Amino acid sequence: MSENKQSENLLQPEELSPAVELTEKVLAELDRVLLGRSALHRMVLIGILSQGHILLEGVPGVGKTALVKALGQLLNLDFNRVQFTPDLMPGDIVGTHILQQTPDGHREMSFQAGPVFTNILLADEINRASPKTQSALLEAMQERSVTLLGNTRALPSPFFVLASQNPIELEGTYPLPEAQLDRFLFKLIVPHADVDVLDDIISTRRRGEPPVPTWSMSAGQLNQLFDVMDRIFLPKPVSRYISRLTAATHPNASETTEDVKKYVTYAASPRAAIAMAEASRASALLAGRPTVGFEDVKAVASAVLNHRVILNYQARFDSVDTFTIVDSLLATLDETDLNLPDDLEIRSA
Amino acid sequence: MNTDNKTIRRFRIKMAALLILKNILAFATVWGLLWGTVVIVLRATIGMPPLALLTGAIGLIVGIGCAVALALRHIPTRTALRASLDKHSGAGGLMMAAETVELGNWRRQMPLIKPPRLRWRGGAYWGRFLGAVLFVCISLLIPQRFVEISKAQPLDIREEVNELADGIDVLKEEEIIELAEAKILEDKLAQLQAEASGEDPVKTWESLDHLADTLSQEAADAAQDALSETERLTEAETLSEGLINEGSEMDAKLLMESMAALSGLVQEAAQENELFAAQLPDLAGDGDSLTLDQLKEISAALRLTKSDIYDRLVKLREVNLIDLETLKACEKLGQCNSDGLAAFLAENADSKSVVECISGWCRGIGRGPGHAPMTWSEDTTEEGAKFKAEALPLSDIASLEDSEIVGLSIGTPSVNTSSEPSQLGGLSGATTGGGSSFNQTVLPRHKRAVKRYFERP
Repeated sequence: MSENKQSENLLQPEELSPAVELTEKVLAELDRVLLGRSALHRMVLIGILSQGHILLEGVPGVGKTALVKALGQLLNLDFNRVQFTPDLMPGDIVGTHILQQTPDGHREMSFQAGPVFTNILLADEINRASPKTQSALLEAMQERSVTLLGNTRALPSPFFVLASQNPIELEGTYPLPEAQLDRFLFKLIVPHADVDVLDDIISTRRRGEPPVPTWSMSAGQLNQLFDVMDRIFLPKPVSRYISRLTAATHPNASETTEDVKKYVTYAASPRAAIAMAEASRASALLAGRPTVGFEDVKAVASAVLNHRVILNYQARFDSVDTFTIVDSLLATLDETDLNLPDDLEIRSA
Repeated sequence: MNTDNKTIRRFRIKMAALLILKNILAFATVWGLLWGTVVIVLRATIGMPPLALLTGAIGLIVGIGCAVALALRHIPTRTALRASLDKHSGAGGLMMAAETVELGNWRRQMPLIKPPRLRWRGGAYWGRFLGAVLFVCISLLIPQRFVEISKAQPLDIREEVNELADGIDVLKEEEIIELAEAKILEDKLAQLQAEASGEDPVKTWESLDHLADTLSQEAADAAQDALSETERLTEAETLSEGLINEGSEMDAKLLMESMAALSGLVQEAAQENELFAAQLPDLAGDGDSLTLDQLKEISAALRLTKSDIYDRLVKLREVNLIDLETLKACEKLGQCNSDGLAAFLAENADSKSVVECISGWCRGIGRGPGHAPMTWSEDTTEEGAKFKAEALPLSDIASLEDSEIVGLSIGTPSVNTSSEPSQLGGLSGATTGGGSSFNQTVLPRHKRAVKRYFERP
């Protein structure tokens, strides 16, 4: 039996430990820089390890930009910030050709790279730009390249878009279309800080300025993390669970819930299942395991699915949000797919 | 086999056992309800004995086999069970991964895998199963009379049938009806009892009434004959007693006429009544000169015969075939009083015969029948004259039951002030002024009674 097993593929503890230590170090540093955001830091790091783009939603002043800046410093990656405004043009992001005179007196069009040519792009208040400008990011986010005048240019690797949007002051904003939302691995809600955290901030931070990270990761270490990520094992029952969970967001699915049937208009795409699998791997890595468990899927499911499941007006009338829908799915769907009768249940010994 | 596989195997066996038990209980419940229903239906419709229906238990055995096969098909796969063990042990995917990859050093760090507890909320299954078992037991053990629906619910007419049977026996015993006729009536009664159904009681009651009417009619005819005979016997007895007690007071002529009249009455009675003929002493010689002993014997025979006739009527009364008034009438007609008869005969012998005098003496003064001769036409049929029994439809009966009295009149009855005579009762159909006859159609079976009434001397 053991002859058939792929013994060389599973990460051994001694291989995994350095990667886990690195992630713990990043998380500790982030927690030191930004107070009271441990869960958010964990999800952001999962997103980075999954090489996915993250949409941060929160009111102004909760530390979205500070988080992205600290992350860039910690990962030792190039970081550009673009403040999206209604008059922002695609060329302002991806770059443009300008006429320049060469030393020999000739003139030629030379490409002036935009801010997208970086490792981490902070698209601040992305929903304030026009759809035309928002769509300029589509290729960059999916293909990690930019095509201008028929000339395709690869973006630096790794490339992450960390966008932020404000859930209030929606007048004059352009909600992101589903196609663009689907390209974000996570949509993370950045909540208000509680009293203890606020107390810590004002007592320890002069003018609220966060401390500069004292440590940063090298490019090699980052690549090492990505290599470890590739070797995190996804067991078949877990991948099956991810597939069933994604399919269950469809109102016509066999394993769906009454809430989904009642409130969901558009279900999650296959890209959601892929994102969930990747994010689950990263979650397992952060937990120090070489294999993905059901708990990893459950940890990332809401962040992966909440912006991909589109609800109808009835849900708005009944004050039902996507988190409620995803929670009901997670509570209802049996991870192990045992298909046991309702009156038969398994309890941990 | 490593520890993981042993654990999974144990867990799988435990789950299989639970699923098999659950399926068996579910199937046995369904089979029990089905079996019990079939048992009741078969017992109710064709009266199949419960022991034969125990063969239904074979189906239970087959069903248990099917339930086991079905349960085995639904046992989760080893992969699913491994995933379940992984989840409940908090192995974080290591146990699942162990199925396809070698864990290596991770095995030492893997938590102890313990089979989770299986909890089956089987109370409802057990409850339904016990209910089904109870149902089967009841269906098999319930007495046959409670489930038999093949026969219609019988109508209990035993009392009425017994009464009519007694009546037939009495009529047969007293030779009022022929044996063949009695047999027909008995067969009809037996058929009526067999076919008496609670679903259509009206039909049964009507048939019973019809049979009772037939018997009552026969008894009434016989009673009427008995009354006439009693009357004649009483006349003869009165004359006989008169001759015994006061014969010495009569002159020779009247005595001779009375003796002749008695002789005629006695012979007439002897022809009609066999019992009386058997009791009658030898009246050899001249009938006009009976001895005192012969008169006493004649009186005794007459009394015995009257008593026998009275006893017959008593029997008919005992089975309710005649009313009490008829019995009283017979008793009254049988009373004999001869005190002063000699004087009465001496007084009226010149204008009437002795027989007429005796008849008048016994009956007293009455209006009597008319002297107009009775003319009988050809036999009538019962067509149009007989009441045609017709059962009311059930709906009409129901409507009668639901009927209500809407009011009662308390007004004074109106008085007919017309000078014309009323044409009611016996005068109905007769014309005023005389010279006409009264015509009345009577049924053939009533002819004898009418004739007997109007032809009385």
